[in-house]
Amino acid sequence: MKSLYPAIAVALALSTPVYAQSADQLVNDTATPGDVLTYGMGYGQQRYSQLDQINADNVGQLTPAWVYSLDDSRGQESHPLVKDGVMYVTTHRSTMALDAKSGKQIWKNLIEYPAETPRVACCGIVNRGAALYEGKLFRTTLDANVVAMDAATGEEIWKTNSIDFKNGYSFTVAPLVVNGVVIVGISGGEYGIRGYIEAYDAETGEQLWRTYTVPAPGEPGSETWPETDAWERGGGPAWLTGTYDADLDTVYWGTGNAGSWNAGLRPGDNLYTTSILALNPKTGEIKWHYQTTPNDPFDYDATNELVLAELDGQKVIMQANRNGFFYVLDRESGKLLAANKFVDRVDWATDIDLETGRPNQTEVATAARTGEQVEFWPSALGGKNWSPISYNQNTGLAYINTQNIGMNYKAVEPTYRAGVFYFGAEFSWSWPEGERGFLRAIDPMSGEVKWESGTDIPRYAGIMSTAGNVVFTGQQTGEFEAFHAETGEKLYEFNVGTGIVGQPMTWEQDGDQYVALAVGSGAVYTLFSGDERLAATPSGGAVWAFKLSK
Amino acid sequence: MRSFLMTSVTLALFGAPAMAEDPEKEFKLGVSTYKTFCSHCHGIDMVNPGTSSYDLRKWPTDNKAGFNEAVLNGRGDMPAWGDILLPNEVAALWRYVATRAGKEPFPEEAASAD
Repeated sequence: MKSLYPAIAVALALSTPVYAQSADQLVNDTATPGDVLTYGMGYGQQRYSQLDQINADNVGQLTPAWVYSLDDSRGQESHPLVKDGVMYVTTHRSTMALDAKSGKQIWKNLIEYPAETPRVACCGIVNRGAALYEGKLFRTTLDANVVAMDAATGEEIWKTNSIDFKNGYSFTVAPLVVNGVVIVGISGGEYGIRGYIEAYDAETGEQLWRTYTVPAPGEPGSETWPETDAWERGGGPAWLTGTYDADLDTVYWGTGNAGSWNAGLRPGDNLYTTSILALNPKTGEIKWHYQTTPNDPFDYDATNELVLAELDGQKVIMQANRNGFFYVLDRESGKLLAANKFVDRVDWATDIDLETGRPNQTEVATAARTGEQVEFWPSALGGKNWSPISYNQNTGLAYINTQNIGMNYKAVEPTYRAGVFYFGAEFSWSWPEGERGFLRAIDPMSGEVKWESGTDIPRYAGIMSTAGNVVFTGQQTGEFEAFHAETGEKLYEFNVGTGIVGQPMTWEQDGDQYVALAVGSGAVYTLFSGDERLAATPSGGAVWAFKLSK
Repeated sequence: MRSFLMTSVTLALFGAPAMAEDPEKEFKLGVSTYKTFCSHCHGIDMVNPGTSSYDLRKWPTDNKAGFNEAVLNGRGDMPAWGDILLPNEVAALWRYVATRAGKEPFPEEAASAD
């Protein structure tokens, strides 16, 4: 707030209370249900709310409160934030502030990016949301910029370019702000990038640190790479927002696949790809790492959200990994506590050794690395793709939109051209008869499935659950859904008219509990799967808000 | 940059001369070019629901000029590729799209000059 922008500071001060999310407020986000200040509804991203005005008994009386058009035909994955009655939401090309009670627009600004930009987005032209800190709103752009705006007006305060997008680098991530440090992770794992996580000063936009997820020769971890130039295009993107433990002052951030997919060309574990990293937020220093898929040939990103929870008094991280295992780690030490399959078919490994933390890989994994034609499940889309899970403190269950899809695959020699696909593999999908996905409630430690809800077209939406015993999610065919958190009984459904791949969230305002989410078909499954059944579900971004009818 | 130049040279040397005369080779180049540049929005083997991106199976086979224009300069939500695709790759893509990913014969009208 000091010095640089005195006029803005004065304007903000006059227009109270729309200003100032202190570091403490961000830490305490889960305790203040009148706002949602962080991606994932809390630094731990449990996507769990203590609110219970809307509950399993009355959720059937949910009714739309308002709808706001995002005026955009791409997939909508943005996580709305709410502060002092104002909602902040993004698309790939715009940022909006809305009156959270009426849905009326307060301000909107457009992002101009070069016409070539969308070609570096492998899996949908999306943005996953903004971050708030001390009166500023932060977001990333597809052409690899980080931007700070005045949250009251939308006026740009600073904009810093991270890297040249033309070489395959892009941002879709919602930033994580920790004590004035704006942390982001790069996308582009299929484009021959060298991945990184990096941080900017919230006040000035100055870069504070960058931690590469693939070490250069001589750096720690470089011994897990061959003595070639493979590391320069080694992958390891970091395209989903990390979590933060304030007590340990540690940020947890997942990294993606190694590149190219042809793992035979990069013998070794290939650190720190497909890894869970514990980072010092001030310096970016890696405190510990845990790798989920060493020498990954399958595009098994470990970017998925690293949910923080306490299980039997132990501070843990949970992750439903693309590779089909649900990992539980001690988040102080990084030691593996449990790793159970959360999908029915996992071909690449029989189990994860709890002592060593390493997977016991199968012949399918070996064959995939040697260029043989193989079929493996889950596919590169993952046992779970990006769509975030919810952990419910009341039921003790994790809710996951899982996928039941396989892949035909053959590693081939990759060809590098800057800014275009660098797969190193020929592939096609292998479909099951019937259901391609299940919403599953599982016990995090045992992996036991308590209930499930299957769909022919897999769900790609995020999940939120509440103390009201309700689980919210949605389908790519337009159904916004509510389930009983304990039994899985479907309690509510509403057709929003376009596919849902967004993230439900909830807050309380003037005595009413609201549930809202961005909707709009698009993103990786719609674009890449060839599922023509989705032809009857048009695109068209919007934000919907619901509350109980009176 | 270095790698890109080398690749371009390699492609030009081994690709260009044979392409125009040999439909089969041109189609094969179309397959690989489509996979690399187009498949993530328009679907594997050109199959997609046509909602968030265009269903290329509907592109008129008598509109080669319009196709080239869209590929080189972009169209609506589609990005421009003119600075990165080689002429023989654009021609190969047209063969791929006009044959509906090889499922149909190359139509007579598709061969017309741009």
